[in-house]
Amino acid sequence: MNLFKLNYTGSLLALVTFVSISVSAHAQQVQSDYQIQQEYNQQVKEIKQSLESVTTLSEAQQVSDRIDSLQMEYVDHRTLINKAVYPETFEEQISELEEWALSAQDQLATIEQQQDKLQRMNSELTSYGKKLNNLNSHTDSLETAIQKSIASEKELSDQLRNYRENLERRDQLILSFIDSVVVTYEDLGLNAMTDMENVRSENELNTEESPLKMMRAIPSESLQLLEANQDLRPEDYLRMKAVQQEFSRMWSKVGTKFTQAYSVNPQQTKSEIEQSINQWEKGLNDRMWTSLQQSFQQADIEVQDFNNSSTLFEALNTYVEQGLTKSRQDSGNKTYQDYTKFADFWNTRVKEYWTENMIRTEVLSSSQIATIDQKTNRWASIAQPESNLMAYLLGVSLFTIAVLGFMLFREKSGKKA
Amino acid sequence: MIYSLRTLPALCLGCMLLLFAGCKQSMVISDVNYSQPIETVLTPNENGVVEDVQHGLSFNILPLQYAETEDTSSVTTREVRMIRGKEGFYYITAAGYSNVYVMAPEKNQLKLKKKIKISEEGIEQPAFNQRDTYVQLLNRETEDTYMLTEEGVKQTDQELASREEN
Repeated sequence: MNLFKLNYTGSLLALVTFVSISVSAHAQQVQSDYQIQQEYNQQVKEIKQSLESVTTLSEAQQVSDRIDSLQMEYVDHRTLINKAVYPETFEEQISELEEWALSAQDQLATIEQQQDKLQRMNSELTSYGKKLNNLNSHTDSLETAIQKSIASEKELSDQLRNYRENLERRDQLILSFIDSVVVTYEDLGLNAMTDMENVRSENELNTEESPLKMMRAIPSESLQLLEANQDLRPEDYLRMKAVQQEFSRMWSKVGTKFTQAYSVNPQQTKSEIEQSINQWEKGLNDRMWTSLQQSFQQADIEVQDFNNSSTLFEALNTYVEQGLTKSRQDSGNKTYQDYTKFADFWNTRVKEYWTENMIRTEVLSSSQIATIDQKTNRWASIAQPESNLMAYLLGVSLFTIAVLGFMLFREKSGKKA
Repeated sequence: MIYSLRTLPALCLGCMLLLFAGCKQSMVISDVNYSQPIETVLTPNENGVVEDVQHGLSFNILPLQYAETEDTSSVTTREVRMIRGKEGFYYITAAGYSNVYVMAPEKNQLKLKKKIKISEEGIEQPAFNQRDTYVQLLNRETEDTYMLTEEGVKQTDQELASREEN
């Protein structure tokens, strides 16, 4: 029975093969050249369209296989096709299609690698987001603790120190996030984002865990922190200003592509985030300049009012110049006191805690700081009261000479006697 | 001087003969191959005019339609199939036509050289293929093929094949 089945199957296969060979041979004999040409052109056109719309590596591979089949199918008609596609040739068209397919495969392979990188960056940024949330909640609880522990001065001081350290850690984390975004996107190449937009669905990218969520959160939460705290020092504001500027720079670099890749409504999202960044910048600037002004007042240094970089330098320069002029006119104790007050504040507060972020945020440039430094040193040499040491030394010398002269006179008188 | 006057008529005659001989000379390039590799399929407009942009040819198909249907009140021919043979004649037919028209190109004209009868019923799906020494007419419906020259059907390809086999 099995043998019969085997024979039967074998015969059927042979018959089918024979019929198909006969049919194809006959069909090839009677085929219209025009039809061959039309079908070939149609297939080339379809392959080109497929190459333009492939989105995955496996699809590109399928198109490559199709090009191989096309070549095999029409190689016997190449003389006819050469005439039909003149001035091109069959071989040239097939090579061109193969090159396109290879280039599409290369491009898609690169995009897939970049997608992997992007996924890794997304998870990295998500972990930043979690850390930032933890820090935010810790900062909030510290703030509450500060409010409650006003009774104990030591406890309050400890809580304030903790709170400031927490804010510093938060700023460091945001700077690391910014670095991570910039480095990753420079590595990916910003143009690659556009390619990826074409191959990835909007929903896939627009997830709750996307870095866009953090991009939205950082400016608004930072502004909330500013509004909630009045106890921050100028160095805190200067550090925050550095963070804000870095964030703003990063956004201007990657913002457009970022929103295009991650948002359903890129224009609106971009405009919302930019508005938030502007509010953050304005809120921070207002507080920073007020805080700097108050610091000078608290140190009893009466500088002119300032609210930007140029007026700050002008105020400092004028103060030192006026001090110099006064010291030249009057070398009394008052001008020396003014000098020591300013020099002390300049050296122990400004240069110790502020200059790094002042230069970074362009509140004062290093050359402006150097100018104030030089003028302060000149002021020192003029303001210091004149020393009486020389007069004392002269007096002592005269006295010693007088004593020695007297002793010599006595000794000579004794010898005579 | 007398000698010169006597020879003058002979000299004039010689010059005239040379002049006439020069005028009669014409350049001929032989063994020209006009064969068009792939047939052209053209759709007539509402006036029956077809235009082959690739080969620079335009004509009205209504005389052909009239020869087939004796009706030119409207354009009933959907598509015209045309190929130029090696000798330069155009082989023209269309779906449903019983004949292939071999047309000779002349000054602003296509002149009927031969009307080749293929079948009484007409061929529903005709197609031309260019072959080395002839034009092949293919009936895609019946898969019959015909070997055409400007003289008419020489034989079917099947007949040729069976003869070669024998």
